[in-house]
Amino acid sequence: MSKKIITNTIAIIIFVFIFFFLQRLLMPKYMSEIFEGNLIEEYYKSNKDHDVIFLGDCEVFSNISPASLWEEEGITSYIRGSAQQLIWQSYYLLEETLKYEKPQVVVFNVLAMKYNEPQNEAYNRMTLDGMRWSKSKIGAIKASMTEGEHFIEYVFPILRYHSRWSELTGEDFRYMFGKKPLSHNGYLMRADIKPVAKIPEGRPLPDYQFGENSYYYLDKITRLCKDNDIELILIKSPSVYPYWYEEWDKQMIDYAKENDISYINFLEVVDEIGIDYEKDTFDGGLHLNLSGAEKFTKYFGEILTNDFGLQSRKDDPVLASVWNEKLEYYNWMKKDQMAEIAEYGKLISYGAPAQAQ
Amino acid sequence: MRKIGIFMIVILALVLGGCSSSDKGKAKDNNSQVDNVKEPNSEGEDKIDNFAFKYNNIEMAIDDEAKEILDKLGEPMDYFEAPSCAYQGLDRTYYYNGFEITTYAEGEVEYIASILLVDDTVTTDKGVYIGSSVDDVIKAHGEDYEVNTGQFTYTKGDSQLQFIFKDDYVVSILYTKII
Repeated sequence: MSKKIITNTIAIIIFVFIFFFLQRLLMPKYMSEIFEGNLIEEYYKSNKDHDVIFLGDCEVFSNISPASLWEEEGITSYIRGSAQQLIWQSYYLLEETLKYEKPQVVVFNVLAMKYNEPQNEAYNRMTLDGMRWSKSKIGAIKASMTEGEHFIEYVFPILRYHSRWSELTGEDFRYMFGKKPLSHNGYLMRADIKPVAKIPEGRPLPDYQFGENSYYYLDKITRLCKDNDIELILIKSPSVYPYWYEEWDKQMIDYAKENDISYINFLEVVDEIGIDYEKDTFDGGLHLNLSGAEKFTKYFGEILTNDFGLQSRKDDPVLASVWNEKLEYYNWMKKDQMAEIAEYGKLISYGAPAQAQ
Repeated sequence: MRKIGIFMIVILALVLGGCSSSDKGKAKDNNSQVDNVKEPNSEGEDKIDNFAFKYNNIEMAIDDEAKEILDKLGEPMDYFEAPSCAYQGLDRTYYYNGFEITTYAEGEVEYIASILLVDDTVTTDKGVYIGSSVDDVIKAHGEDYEVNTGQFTYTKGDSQLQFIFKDDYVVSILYTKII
């Protein structure tokens, strides 16, 4: 009898091991393209001592450089950004982040207000698969699922990715149990240049009012920050596309006023920041490149220091050591990208080929 | 032991292979291009009848392959391309006199995603143009529409025809793929 129990237990353990091994193997690794899929999980390896947490979509993870913010102002920060991050995902990511640390300032990019409903499974996956299991992750999944998605497929991603068998590459085996960081505290570096050729006019919309669901989660973010004595700053990052309507801007101005928080539309001060859309974007104005991100970060850093009272922590030897290491990697990547651009006339790695498709 | 072993093998087989039919219509794996819109018609399938716009006898319908149409239309006045947030595909917009065509890509092939009429030099196939009244739209396109705030939406196949109104007059006409 006892022999049978032992044998069955061993069999079950082997089954569970194979199941999770296959699951790890089949999940996308995002290491050679679509780096954005890694951003959320990279946070857990950080030292979680950040003065500022940035939340939002590509307008934060492409446009703001925490390494530069440290270098310029001695402010520690992390971008909990992800591709097309929806506002309920930002809320749950903030809720989760506050379990690890308590920043002085939270910055939320308001472009996400335009999405009132769940949008797209692939983008959901890039945000949600990387989250560690918690009440926040469960909430984020439930709020994000599109029609046809199932909660169980988030619990056991193998149910979703089983058909990747035929697409497996060396990358899937190499990064099964560990990945090198691709971002710099959530910032995805791109040093190449593609000037703005045209800025499309906004198409007429039937209704410019942001949706109730968007406001519901903005209220929750605001309340969560207030309850934790955190300064919330709403921003519109200086990307010229997608179009940011005046009607939307007014709603954010009004919201900030009503809730006694700050809202800064950086599109209105691009000249003051010094952004040159001929040189400071890598994809025609959607995202800033490295030089654009460093200019924007420098400008924003001065605001954080002068208007919000954040102080330099460069005198802290432990932090200085951590950040010097980060700066070393940041500067190495900057040099590597510049060298690649000099050699080939364009960036041929770092996600650039995927963009060119 | 044997029963448990068989049970586990069956479970693994089901997980790995048994669900493949349920993938149809869902987003592709994240290492591939985002696609939770329907696949364009492949050979052998019946072509879905979508809304079409006609300009200088050139007909263009939603989900049509764009190349031949763009060749016939000639050089656009302007062009804009926009990668998505995570570069899963590139949306391209071609600007012509009175209308704009936006395409999406599936692999190397571009398909028409939307056509926006921007002034009154062009009309729908039933003669509605920017500046037409609500009554004109209903008279021409019928009453089988959905109403949202300031907008009528007609649906056909995998496409929609949307009219946006201001003060009861059309300010925007958009043919678009249902996403």
